[in-house]
Amino acid sequence: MFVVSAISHLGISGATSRLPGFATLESPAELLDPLFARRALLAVLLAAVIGGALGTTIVLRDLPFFTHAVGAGAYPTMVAAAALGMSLAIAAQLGALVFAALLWLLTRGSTADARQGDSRTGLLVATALAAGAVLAEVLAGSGSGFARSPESMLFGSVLTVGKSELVAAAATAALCLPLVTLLSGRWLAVGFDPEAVGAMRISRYDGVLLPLVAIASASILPLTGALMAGALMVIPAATARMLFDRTAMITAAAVALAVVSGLFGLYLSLAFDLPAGASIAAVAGGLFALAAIAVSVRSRADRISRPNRRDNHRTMATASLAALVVLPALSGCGGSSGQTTAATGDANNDRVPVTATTTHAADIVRQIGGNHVATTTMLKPGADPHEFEPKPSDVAALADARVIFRSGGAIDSWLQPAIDAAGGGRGPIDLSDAAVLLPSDAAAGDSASNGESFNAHWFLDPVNLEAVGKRVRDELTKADPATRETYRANAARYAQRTRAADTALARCAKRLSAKQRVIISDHNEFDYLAARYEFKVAARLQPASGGEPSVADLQRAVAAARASGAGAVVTSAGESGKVARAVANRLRVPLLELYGDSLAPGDGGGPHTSLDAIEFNLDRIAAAVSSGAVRCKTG
Amino acid sequence: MDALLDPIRGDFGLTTLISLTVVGAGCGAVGVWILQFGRAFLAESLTHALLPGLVAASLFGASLVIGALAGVLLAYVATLAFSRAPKTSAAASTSVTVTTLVAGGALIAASSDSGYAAFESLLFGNPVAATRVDLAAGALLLAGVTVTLWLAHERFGALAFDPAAAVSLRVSVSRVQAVLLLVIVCAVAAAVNVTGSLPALALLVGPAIAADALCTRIGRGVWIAALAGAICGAGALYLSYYADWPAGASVAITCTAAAAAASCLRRTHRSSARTGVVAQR
Amino acid sequence: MQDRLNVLVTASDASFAYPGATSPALRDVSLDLPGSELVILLGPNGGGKTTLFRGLTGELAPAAGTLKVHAPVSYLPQHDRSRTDFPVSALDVTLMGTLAERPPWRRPGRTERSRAREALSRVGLADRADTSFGELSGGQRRRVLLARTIVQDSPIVLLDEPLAGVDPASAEVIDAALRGLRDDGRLVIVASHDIEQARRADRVVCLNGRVVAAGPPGDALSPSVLQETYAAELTLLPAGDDAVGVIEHHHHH
Repeated sequence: MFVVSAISHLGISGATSRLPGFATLESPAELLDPLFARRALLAVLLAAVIGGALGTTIVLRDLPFFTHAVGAGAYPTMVAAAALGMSLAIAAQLGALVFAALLWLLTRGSTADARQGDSRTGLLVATALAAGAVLAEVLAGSGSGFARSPESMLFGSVLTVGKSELVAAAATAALCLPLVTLLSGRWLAVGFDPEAVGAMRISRYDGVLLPLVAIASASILPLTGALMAGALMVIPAATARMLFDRTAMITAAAVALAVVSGLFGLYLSLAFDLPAGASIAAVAGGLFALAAIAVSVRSRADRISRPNRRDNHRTMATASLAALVVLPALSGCGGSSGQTTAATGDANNDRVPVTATTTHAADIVRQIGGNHVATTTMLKPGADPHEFEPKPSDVAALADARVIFRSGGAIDSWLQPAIDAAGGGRGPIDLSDAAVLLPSDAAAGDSASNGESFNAHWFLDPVNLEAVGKRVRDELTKADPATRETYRANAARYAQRTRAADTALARCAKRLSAKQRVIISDHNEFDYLAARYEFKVAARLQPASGGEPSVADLQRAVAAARASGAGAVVTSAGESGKVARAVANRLRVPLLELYGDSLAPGDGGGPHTSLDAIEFNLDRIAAAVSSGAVRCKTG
Repeated sequence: MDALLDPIRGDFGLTTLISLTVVGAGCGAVGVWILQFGRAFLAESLTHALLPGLVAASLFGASLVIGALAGVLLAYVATLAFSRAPKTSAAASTSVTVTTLVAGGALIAASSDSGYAAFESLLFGNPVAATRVDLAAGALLLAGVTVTLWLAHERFGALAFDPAAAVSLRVSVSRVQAVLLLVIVCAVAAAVNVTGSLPALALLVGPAIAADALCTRIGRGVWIAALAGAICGAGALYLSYYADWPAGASVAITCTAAAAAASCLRRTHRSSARTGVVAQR
Repeated sequence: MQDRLNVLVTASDASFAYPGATSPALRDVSLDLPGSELVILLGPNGGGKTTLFRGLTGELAPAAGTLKVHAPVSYLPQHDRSRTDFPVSALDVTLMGTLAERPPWRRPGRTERSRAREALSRVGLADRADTSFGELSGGQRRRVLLARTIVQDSPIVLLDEPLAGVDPASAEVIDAALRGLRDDGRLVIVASHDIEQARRADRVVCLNGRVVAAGPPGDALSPSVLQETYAAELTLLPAGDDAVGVIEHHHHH
């Protein structure tokens, strides 16, 4: 079903037609033409082999929670490593090992059974997340907005896998396979005692088990994303466990199922432009459900004559047959409908293919390029940049782009792996280079900083828009000299418009008294706007590190806001968290949902260009702090 | 005295104290059964499992609350269905459930043209910022959970203690498990809405581990865990205030501290008790 | 036959089959079991003892014939999966036997407690009522579980191998408690491998896919019956576990 819904939306992304498989899919092999697809294939195979091989032990020793939790468990170590400038990949492995060691210490020696291991893992996860958050808070002074979420630090996508990650995964596979071959019998000897299934009873060889699962999980996560921990390390083995009783068979079937889920999921992802991790997980989950139904039906029939080995094989055959028939049939339906959308992209053929990371960057490019460029935007309007998972079309768009524009800073720092994966030699043009930047935690200062920790929302200042527009003009001219005159004219017109808007907005803001020009901001997205039109940001609710405020932080912020008589709380639309709402309620001032990170989506209301966004934001603020007396709509 | 009252006097202090204490007590009590039935992974996963409902709601323009309700319902049904899979442990079926549900959510999201923003900040609470409606809804839900726990107490105990005897004791295993799952789902939903996912997880496992270390009777354990949860929650307010740490992280730290302290206490107590037993024999 | 009113279990030509199975697990069971009797079910693993128990508890309806159970049944299963780390006292465990009598909102009252204490004293553990279940020895734990069964106060009590793996002292106490239950007027049915135990019963039912023989031990326990009960691979050892080895070769068709 998801295939169908995905197909119905396929036409939206301008780049879809450039993926080889979409227009004329002769054979699945064609999907592997782009470099990123071949790398993804290799990554999926490695992850499937590791996951399948270890999965049997994970399932029979009841370690799925641990496997899922490794990503969170490594968080504090990664925060520390990021602050110290260490490699995050090494820190992830280290953090995973520390997490494994702590869990081992907690469950060792005691009469701990599965139930205890389960809740102790839970407590350890909570503690690790808390320690990471506190550490990020403590280290916040050292800059860089790395602490946003534990997920964004560790998890990647199979579509943006780099060479070093592949090498690391291959090394993990080389470590895992011999150890699994040698030791799995001993690990499982504990697990197969029905009384002890899941018992974290530590035998001598178990000392290797937790660290190995931790390392495997930590090298699979950055490779393939958060979902895949379960999709490749747990589900195939759980499926195999239902079908077979002997460990050797379970292991072999788990590897086979992991490979099948991985390959078929990747195929679906490439063919229908879906996020790879989710596709693979959906296939693995579907296979599990099929097998569960098949086994339940059969065992209901077989309950008396305890199924002997032949029966088991028959069950397995039924299940795999069902899977083999149903899955390609599913893809067949999808495939035929996929071709109908093929023609959409063709009109763009003689335009310059350009990829921009954010809606703001894309808007500026469109202003200058007009209809001579075909712009692909990677982040959808309203999307949280920190939860971006690229689709194949995103990576393909990067590979095909003649120019890649990034907004710069924390908003799109996730871009580099995707560019590497696309195999393009061109570096992205960082538009923030042309802007005058504010530091990320300046309340309303005007000191620029070129360090890592600048405030990335430069596009909410018309003066920056003009400067950046000129930069875009230069880059487009380099890429497409024939159209230089148009670009020059467009840039000049854009400069004129930004200047006119700036003058009008400044005049409007001046109608507000200095007392009225005080606001509270949720994050730091409106610092540029505030600085340009001389608003004072009385308080910021979220710390610059991106973490959560402490109780004392919040009380200070509210006290400061109250003392300065702030007239509104401003936050980004779609991100108005409960803290901002609570503060607005407390101070009895309006909560304004403005456009910060992103422009408004599609056909709905709200601004669709950066200039409109600036005007919209200022208009809302002016109206709120003047009780509707001052409006800044230029119309 | 002022040291105790200062954090409460300030803005949001009282809200934080009430929300953390209420959620702490409710989660503490549920946590005892999460510990006894080994369902911490499930509790942790349920916060992610809401995703498909939320994404679908935002896609169809429905309210997020409806999406969350649909998500909770879907998570409940999916967990119940996957837990019936033959030869599959609770942890494995939880892994299958959460992975499949999150994948479903991501696929729905990928097929829409507008991005899904940070749902967590919209739906997931923050202990410092619970609204009166959140608090009232959470307290009501947790009261329902508490009543259910009280009613199901002996049946939960009988099943956790000796699943093989359930039939003879006329305890319906499937019904008790469905009630257990319902209680966990409701507690997680209430806690996540009021305090966010990290404090919810910490309050669901930490106080229960502490109570398990301190108590040798399950009935008393539930009370002690509820008390420990309330204390951990209230203590987190002071930790956050005086150490200047995020409130959610502070909850996790007080819960861990409580569990660790109780375990140490038990270990010392036990080693003395053990010598006593040996002497008696 | 004169106390027909007191018959608690009536089976006539009852056969039991698991769903989907081609042949019944137990067939042609015809029995009339009155109260005040200690009945031993003797037979190999797979011979139908547990199947008959399932029929008696109502888990498995007869595929053919009739089985009538005229009174409530309580059942102590063989595989004891009770947890030693679960925080309950011996008394708490015993009180679980009163669970079905009370609505969920009623906690055990004074009468339930005194009944539980009495049951504990019948298994010789009156002084351990407040001891944690996990601190008891294996035999004592089995006795507490028997007390839980006693407190259920059913006219029919089923016990699956209650003496397997229990220390001699506890076995003696359990044996005495079972006779006590019988003397109360209950029908006590015990599944066993132990021929010695069977000799001390009021009635023996030998099962091997069907009822081979039933009656007082003197009549039923003839060598030929035993031979038939334990089939051709007879290695007749009183210890139950060796019979398991025998049954490994025994396949259903």
